[in-house]
Amino acid sequence: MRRTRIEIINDMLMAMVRLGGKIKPTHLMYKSNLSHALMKEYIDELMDKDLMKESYEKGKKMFEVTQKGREFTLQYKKMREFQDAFGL
Amino acid sequence: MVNFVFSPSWFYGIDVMFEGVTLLVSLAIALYAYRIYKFSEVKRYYWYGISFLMLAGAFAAKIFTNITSYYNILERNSFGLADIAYQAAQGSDLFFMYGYAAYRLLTLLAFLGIYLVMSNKVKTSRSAVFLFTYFAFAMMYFSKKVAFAFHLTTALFLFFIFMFTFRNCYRKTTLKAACVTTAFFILMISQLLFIPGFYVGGTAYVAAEVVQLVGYVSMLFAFVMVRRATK
Repeated sequence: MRRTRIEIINDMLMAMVRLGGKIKPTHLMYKSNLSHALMKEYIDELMDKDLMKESYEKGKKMFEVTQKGREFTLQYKKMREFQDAFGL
Repeated sequence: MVNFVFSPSWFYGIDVMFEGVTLLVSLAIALYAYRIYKFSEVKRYYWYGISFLMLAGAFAAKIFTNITSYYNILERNSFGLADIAYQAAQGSDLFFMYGYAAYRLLTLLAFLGIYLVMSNKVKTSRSAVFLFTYFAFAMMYFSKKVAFAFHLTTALFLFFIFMFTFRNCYRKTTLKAACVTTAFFILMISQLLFIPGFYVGGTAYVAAEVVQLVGYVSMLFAFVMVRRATK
């Protein structure tokens, strides 16, 4: 089944959360199962909304989830609990 | 004056408290669904919230109508908001008719909304909603057996909603989903019990009210588990 926009955002943020909050760009692309072009679109959106940010580790670019991004994943979990319980 | 009192005298006020509980449960679910809509921007949650809000409104109408029936508010001088109703509707039986009509219409629309959301038909069924609202008005205005038609129709909606939740419960196999499925099943049974309850009154009406309360408490239990699971 095709993922919704919010599912994709959650998948991207959870990919970072599961790896301690930081992830390499290529790993993010594989973990979130997106093409490069689509991933770039979502990254721009997530950075605009302050859900993730860029950082550098040993000279290499990384993506890092922000506190707001972590809260987003919790809100998403609440939504899924409600959705699964009430059959929506 | 038309008699709208269905419960035995010893149950006066108790059914109002029961419906107060169901009103609060409906309101809690409506508000939570709306919060999820604000977060996700998925319209399905908005309509689900609106449906439960209508359900809360339906119970509010029934509670207010029952209070005025049981305690002869129209003959008293002061009861807060009911005092305004007294001045506006003095000597009129229409007040009770409109109260119950509002309860029935809002209940039907609420369960129709829940059914449409669960069947993913909200976008494509605006004409169905219009037709249904028209038939609901026509039924309430023309039908001599409006209580029978109302409770049977509500039970039918609840049957289909129960089937959707049953399918969901079968797939998810969680306690929360099972509680919601059980809730809608019990509510369907309560609607069928209200049919003899309205025509016979007495213990039958009490049984229907108790079963309805159990249904909403089951739904509350599921809702509390959902809230606790994510804390």
